[in-house]
Amino acid sequence: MAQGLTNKVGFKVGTTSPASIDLSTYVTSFTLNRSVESLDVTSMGDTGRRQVAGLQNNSITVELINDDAASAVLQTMNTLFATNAYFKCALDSASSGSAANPFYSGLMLVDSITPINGAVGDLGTQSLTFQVSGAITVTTTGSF
Amino acid sequence: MSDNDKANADFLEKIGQVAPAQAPKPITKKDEE
Repeated sequence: MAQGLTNKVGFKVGTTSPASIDLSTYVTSFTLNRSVESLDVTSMGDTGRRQVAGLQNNSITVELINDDAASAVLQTMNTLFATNAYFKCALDSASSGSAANPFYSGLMLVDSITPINGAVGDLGTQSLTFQVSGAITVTTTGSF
Repeated sequence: MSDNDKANADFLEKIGQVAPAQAPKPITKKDEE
């Protein structure tokens, strides 16, 4: 895969590792934000600010169609609410893991859900942001 | 299992979200008989 359309993102969640409930077909938008805290280590003699990486501080923002079937969005998120849930995500769920298509996994705190959301005539969706709990594991082998 | 996966499993145990893995019971003389 080179440059291209974002239409194959994979997103799985679950109570056990590896995450096994595949919500990919309900995802309409997905962002994995990876960041580290910046620690200022500037000391005498430096002529400019210097930083080193501190703790990871990652998050996931996802928009989901709020399907109420078993193992779909509504019931899964209701079950995971207020827990640390396992997640797994990838740019291309149909392709094997590689440097161009790493699989990201870890725990996220499901601290906010919107089981009822929308105006009359709207498609029911959940627009959610989760803080990753701990670090993210990146693998470049296997299948999604 | 990566170090991070192990740390995550330990964390879930620490916060009581999953039960600790039970170690196998040691075999006693009575079991052997």
